[in-house]
Amino acid sequence: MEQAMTPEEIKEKKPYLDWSLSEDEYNYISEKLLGRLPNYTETGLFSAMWSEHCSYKKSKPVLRLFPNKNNRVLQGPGEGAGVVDIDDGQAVVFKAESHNHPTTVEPYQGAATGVGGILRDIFSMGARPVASLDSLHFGELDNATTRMKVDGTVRGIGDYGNCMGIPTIAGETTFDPCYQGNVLCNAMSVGLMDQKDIQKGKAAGIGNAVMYVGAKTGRDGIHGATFASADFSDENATQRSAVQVGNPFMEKLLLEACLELITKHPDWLVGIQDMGAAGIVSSSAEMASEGKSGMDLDLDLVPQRETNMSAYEIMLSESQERMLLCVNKGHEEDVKKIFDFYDLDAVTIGRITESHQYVLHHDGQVVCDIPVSTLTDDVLEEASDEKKPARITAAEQEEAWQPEIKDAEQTLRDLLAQSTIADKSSFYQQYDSQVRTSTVVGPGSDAGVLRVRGTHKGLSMTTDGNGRFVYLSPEVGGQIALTEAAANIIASGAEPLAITDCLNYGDPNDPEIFWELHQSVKGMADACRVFDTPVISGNVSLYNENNGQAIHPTPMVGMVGLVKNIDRVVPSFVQRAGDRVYLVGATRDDYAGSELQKMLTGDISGIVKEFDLDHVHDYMQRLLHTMENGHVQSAHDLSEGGLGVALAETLFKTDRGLNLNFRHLTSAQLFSETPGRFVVTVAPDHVAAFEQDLGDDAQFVGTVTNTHWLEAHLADAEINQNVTELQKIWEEAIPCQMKSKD
Amino acid sequence: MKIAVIVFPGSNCDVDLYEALGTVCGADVDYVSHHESSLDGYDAVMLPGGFSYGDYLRAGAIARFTNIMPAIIKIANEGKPVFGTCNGFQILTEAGLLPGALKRNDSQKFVCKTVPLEVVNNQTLFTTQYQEHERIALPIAHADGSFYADEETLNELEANHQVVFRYAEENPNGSLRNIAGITNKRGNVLGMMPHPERAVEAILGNTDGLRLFKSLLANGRVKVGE
Amino acid sequence: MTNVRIFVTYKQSVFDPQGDTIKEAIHTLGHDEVTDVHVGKFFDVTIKGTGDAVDKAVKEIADQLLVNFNMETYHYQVLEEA
Repeated sequence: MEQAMTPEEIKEKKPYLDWSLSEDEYNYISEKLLGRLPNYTETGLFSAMWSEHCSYKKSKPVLRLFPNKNNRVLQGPGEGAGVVDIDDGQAVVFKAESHNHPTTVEPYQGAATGVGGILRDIFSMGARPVASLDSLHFGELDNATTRMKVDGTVRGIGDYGNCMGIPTIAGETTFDPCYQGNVLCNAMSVGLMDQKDIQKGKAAGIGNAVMYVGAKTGRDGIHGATFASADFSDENATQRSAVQVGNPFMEKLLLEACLELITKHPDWLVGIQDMGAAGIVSSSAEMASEGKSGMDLDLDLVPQRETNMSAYEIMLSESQERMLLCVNKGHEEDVKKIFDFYDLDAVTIGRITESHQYVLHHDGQVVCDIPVSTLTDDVLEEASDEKKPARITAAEQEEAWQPEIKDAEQTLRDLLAQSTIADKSSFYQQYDSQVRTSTVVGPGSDAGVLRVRGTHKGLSMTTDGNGRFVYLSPEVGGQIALTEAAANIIASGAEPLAITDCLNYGDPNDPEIFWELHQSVKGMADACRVFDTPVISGNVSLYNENNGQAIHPTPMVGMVGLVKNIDRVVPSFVQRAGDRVYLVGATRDDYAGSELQKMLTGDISGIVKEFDLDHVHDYMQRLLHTMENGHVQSAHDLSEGGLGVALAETLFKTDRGLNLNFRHLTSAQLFSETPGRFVVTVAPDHVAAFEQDLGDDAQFVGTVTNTHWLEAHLADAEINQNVTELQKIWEEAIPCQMKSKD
Repeated sequence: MKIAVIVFPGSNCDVDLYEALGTVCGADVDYVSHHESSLDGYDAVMLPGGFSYGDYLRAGAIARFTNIMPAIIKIANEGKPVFGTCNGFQILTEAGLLPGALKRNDSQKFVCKTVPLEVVNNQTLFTTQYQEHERIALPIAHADGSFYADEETLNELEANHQVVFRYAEENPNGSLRNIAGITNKRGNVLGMMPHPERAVEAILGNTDGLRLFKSLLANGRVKVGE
Repeated sequence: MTNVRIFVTYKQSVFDPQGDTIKEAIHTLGHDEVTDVHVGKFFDVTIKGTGDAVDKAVKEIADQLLVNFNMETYHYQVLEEA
């Protein structure tokens, strides 16, 4: 590590440019904020805290479009995770976070520490994590590099979550060439807590202790925050050093110790925060800022795994499994005893001071003395240029692509083998989905469902992101992302509560990419208002590029819903022969960005058509209502591959069949991806109530049979397929590709 | 009957065992920390699944050096029921309370799914409420579940009717002779890779594990101290 | 001070699926001349003392902790004595 340049040398040699701090920012800090030149350590702290990853300086103007309040939201964005009231004095806590860059360079550790980081965000709020979800996007499986990344990512997620004893109960994995050089790995965690235990990342009370707990600090991941704010290129291979290594065993101990402290000794604790991106500096500065306090830290007291670490390295290390606490004066030893029981370090490294200064001591010297607010509140927001991409303007002039289906049965079989549609059990069987014995619906369904022990309630959860729609039509694509998540939650019989998100985009300095970000967030925000699902947490991951090629703009929506009566959870697969089958929602010719288009043309094109969000929301509410009243046997939402694929999926792993009449639909429309549709089955004695609730928005299309055949009569074709054979195609596609030696 | 669920650093199915016994079966059950050195007053001991000490070195290898281990061995030697599932099974073999060892799965991967099992011996403390050769299904969730012992030990296990559960239809991990669960010679220590505690409530979709705990609760008092 | 490297491997008779998988991967690289791969682990241990005392310590550590003799075996090398 290059050692302390003098402030003058820094001004002259501008090392901060390599740390993603601009010259304008540096000058603003020197001239306006400090009135002097920052020293080496201070410059490093500014570059980390002023990175997009920590400050959201570029995305903030756009993020303001999101609603983040309603009468259930107890804590919105800004803390470790958002908190939502689920009645009875209980709350659900959740957040998603991207770990795209680390997962791209070292899939196993990148994914594992992604899970570890999001879990700490949950338990730092005082909640016990009860479920994990993920949203993974890879290049096509036709090359060894992607297969290796998939394998490593899945093992990383599994090994961390399994060891922690947190079930992974839902998620999505998709494949598209745009993610070949830049994998997306978004991890979401859901926690449960009593509202009285809600914590804040706050440091206050003059003389109170700042305590460091958990793993020791090493040189791992220094400048990970700025690393996440720069794009990849093949020449940048040295960035590999920025990946951290996870220790789930230590995190399990840290979880138990923190929750014991929070729930049993609330009077000892003032605040608690995870040391995530930008390590000690971000956690301590944000806590001091939240408490409007000054802070004085002695870095020689920080537990260190390596020798001769500089102040800069100690402050910016992203070693995992660490937390920062603010503890009431006099209880330091009490806190230490709890962590001793779990064999964890707990060390007082500083105190809250009367000033508003952020002061660091190292090796007998003051290495930093700056106002707290300069790190957290004074960051310059950056206005961004926006420009509608030419490809979209051009597509608006073109006639919509219309598929020609020669053999509807073969098209269905081919779609079932598409890796984005095919069975993912070879991945999710590597995740423990049942530990904690509360999983009512596990992976492979529309949404995962947990029961809440000791109540009749349940929690439903899902992750959804489809970059293809957003790439073609960002605003409508953003609406679809929300609608798809809400449809998954409602299909399980739950009421959507709120969302978290990961906004995965390319380089925002490209005006076209910023326009995509802005438009898609606008679409999401509008849909959030319609569904009354505020954004309570989330993160932004920009610069997802490889050699100048951006990923599709891929906002991921993580939604949580409330099941009022866990006995009324509705499965996604059909139940009894004789049940009536309904198609809820209208089917149009929506092929732009569909799996069908990708499969038949090798690419996606066109404009994704607008749809009537208010109308979709209206009948989805009525569908939920009739489900909550017990009128529905099964419900499955239609997504990739449209109606055809959804029908097959409702039969897999059952011994039933379907006999359906779609005289109004063409074989192309069988694979259209119009948003907001469901296949629903209803027992004969509930038909009247169901039809009354849904009216014209549900169409009777046939019955469940005992034959294990999928029979459908279309306007221009007949489908007559053995379900066992369809299931075999669907199940074998991914294991077969993963074994390929090409 | 008073039952101890041992909590090792990294145990994570302790809650599941506790709830299955306490909430579902109504048994008198306590968590007991690995720091403790006595199990006086307990009639049975449960070793939960999870990742004690992160499965570092070998699954279960470090847990056997904890303070509580001599007390567990004492209970086992007194003939009281000792049950270990998953990591608990691994610990029991590492501690020498059960023969054999658990290797990495043949697939080299963690596997979580529900698998069919055959109840091979329904004459143990833990299995009297099952039928002999009954087919049941229980969840598995492990990376190191491939049971290994040398030929002589395997033959001895079979001859003494110590094999209690066998994988039926498919062998998910490469266990020799499809062994999923065994007892010690005396029959009071049972270790198994599948998780009966995950299959005790209809809401979770499976109740095949319930009779194991009911057998134990019905037999525990009778057989203890015979 | 003595630096010792203790190697732990499966016994010859125990199937080593990891080794097998790696052998397959090596074959896909074109190295068909590789006939066998066995995976093990090693522990670098620094011990105060030299000679017999070290041998005794290594034996005890291996016997009691590092090796599961149901399926594993070990050997060790003295890397450096000082």
